[in-house]
Amino acid sequence: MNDWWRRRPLRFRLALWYAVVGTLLLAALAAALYFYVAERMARPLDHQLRSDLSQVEQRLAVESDRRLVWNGRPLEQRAAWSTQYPWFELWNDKSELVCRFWPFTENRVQQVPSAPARGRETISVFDVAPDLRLRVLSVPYQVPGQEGKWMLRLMRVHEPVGDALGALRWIILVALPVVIALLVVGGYYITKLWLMPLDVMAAEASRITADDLGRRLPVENPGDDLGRVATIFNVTLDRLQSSFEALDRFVADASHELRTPLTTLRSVGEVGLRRARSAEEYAEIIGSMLEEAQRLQHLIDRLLELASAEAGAPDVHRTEFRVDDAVGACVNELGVLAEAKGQKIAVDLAACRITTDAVLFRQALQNLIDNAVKYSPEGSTVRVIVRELPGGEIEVSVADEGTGISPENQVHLTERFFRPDRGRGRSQGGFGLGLSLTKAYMRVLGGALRYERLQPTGSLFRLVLPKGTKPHQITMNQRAMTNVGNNAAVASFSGATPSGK
Amino acid sequence: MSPSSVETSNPPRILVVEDEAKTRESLAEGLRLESWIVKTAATGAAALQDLAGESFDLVVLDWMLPDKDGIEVLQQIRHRGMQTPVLMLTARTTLNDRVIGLDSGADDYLAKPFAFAELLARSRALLRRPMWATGRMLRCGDLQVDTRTRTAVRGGEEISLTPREVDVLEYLLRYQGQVVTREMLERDVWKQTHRATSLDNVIDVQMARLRRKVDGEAAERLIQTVRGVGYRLGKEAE
Repeated sequence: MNDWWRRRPLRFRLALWYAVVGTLLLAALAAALYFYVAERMARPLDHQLRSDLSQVEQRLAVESDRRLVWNGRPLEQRAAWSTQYPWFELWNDKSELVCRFWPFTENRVQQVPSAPARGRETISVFDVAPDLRLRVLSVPYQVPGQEGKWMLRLMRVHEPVGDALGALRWIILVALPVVIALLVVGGYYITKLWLMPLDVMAAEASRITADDLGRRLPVENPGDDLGRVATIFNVTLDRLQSSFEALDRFVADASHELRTPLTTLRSVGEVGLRRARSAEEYAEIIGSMLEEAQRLQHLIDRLLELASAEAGAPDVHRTEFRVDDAVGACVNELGVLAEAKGQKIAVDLAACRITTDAVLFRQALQNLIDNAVKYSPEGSTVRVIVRELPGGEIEVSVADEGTGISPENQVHLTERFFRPDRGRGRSQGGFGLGLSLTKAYMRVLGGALRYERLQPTGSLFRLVLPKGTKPHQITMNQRAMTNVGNNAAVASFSGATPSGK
Repeated sequence: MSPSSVETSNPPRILVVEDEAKTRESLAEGLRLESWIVKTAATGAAALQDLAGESFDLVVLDWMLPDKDGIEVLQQIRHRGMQTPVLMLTARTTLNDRVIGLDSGADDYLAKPFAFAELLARSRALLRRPMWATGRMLRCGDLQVDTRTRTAVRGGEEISLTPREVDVLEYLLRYQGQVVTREMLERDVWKQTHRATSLDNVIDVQMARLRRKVDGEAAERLIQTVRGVGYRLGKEAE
């Protein structure tokens, strides 16, 4: 049964459930209504029966020899009892009829009332003829000199009251099934109608495949339950789609970039073998090939790291640390590169703390400082500034005195393998992945990477990170950024003019 | 103190388990150049058979084998009660794999692709035949570094070095005569384990400066660049 029930469609189950519960509730309501009305309508009659009772108790007496006395006079069995006197029966302690006084003749009555239940007061109804219904009040009656109690029963015609009640009964009997039928059928169709979007969603969802992730579920009413489910499902699809697209781009970019060092590797090896050489020359050739192999390895490591960071899933271990210390250490480390080019790195580090992933933070910053040194002329100054923003965020900015990025190139700044000058970038050992990585890390950490072109010349990169973490909102923020996608990133690369530095 | 003086007379026996023939043979040859006795196996079954027949001082075990997982082989080795040190090789680098590997009884773990110099260094560490010199005073020719006062003297003259340069020089001296890769320097001296952002250019600049200070005016160059691999501290003839 349970299994059968579970296999039914939801709309069937809902309709059936409402039908059963509705029937029970309506039937209970109708019954309560019926009995209440019946009781209220009979109340005047019962009142009359009570006054009949007091009249009989006043006038009727039973002598010790069981003779009946009415108003002090012996009472004889009479065929027609006057209608002005109360109608009554007396039943003795053996439930035998002692006497019955009512105005009906023998042929009027088809069925006489049966003996009353003994010992307690009851009100009941008897049909004595098809068109004659009596309402009777039975009470125990003490006969002087007798041990057991007799029963005294008062009677009145019930019929006029019965008419109205009968009509009510008919109304209920006819109306109840109609209402229930409407409930079942209407309920089924309304449920079906309301759950219709579910069918549409299911059909649409079944058409979505990895190759066709652009489809979305229709959202008819974003406010209701189904709309919310569809919205959430669509957001999930957005994430899936961006993951798949990131993967596609990765494969396309990587296949191009990986071929370059491989080509070098092969040609160096092949050319090396074209003629006999000295041991030194061979060592040189092998060394050159090993260099290219290492370069290939670095490229693969970075690409995999980028793919993982863009999918939003590198291991993140948040700890609290001093930003100024971390930035200072990073500047120290890369200081030798600046020194080699006769550059200076000027730092202005405000003491502040942050809770974020120290490794990813350091990588992000290292990429920026490395770029700044790489693209600045000899003898220039790179400025690294740490400050706390009024909004409670931490900003790390790296400014160089290079040529800056032209506005048309700013759009491509964080794209993979972007180099402002491709030939120069490769000769300097860059893959053009540093800013992509930094941006991906910032996204993972809930921060942002911003670019400004400095006047008269130079670039300013800023990392803006939340100071602490709001554990449950990270993924949402991250997601929101992903959804807005590259447009937002482009928009934030504004060409604002910084204060004169 | 020459590194060869650390070695004992009987050479260690190594089993290299690797299915890729080229890798297997080049590893074996490289290890034989160290005068070690090397046996190779291409499958997990062959490795287990070899291990049952003779004893080894070290097993270099690839994670991905054609017949069974390196982890399975490792578990069987440990199940048989063999305590032979095992160095796992793998193309996977996620932390989880690392934990699985070390949990199943591997003694160390090396991610592919790796530098042979690194494999050698790790193998020596597992064999308890350190290739690095120990002690307070480290010497090579007329170069001498006091690791306690962190001062360096060449030909009787003190060389002025930054703390990082002292670290690098000390590291090179401890591995003298051996090739030290950039990855080793990055990890052990710069303490940076993340591979995605490399410090190669920082290391190269640092090494150039160190070389100027150490070898600048001396007749004999002690810091050699091994092209495509890394650096080596020692006499040029070596």
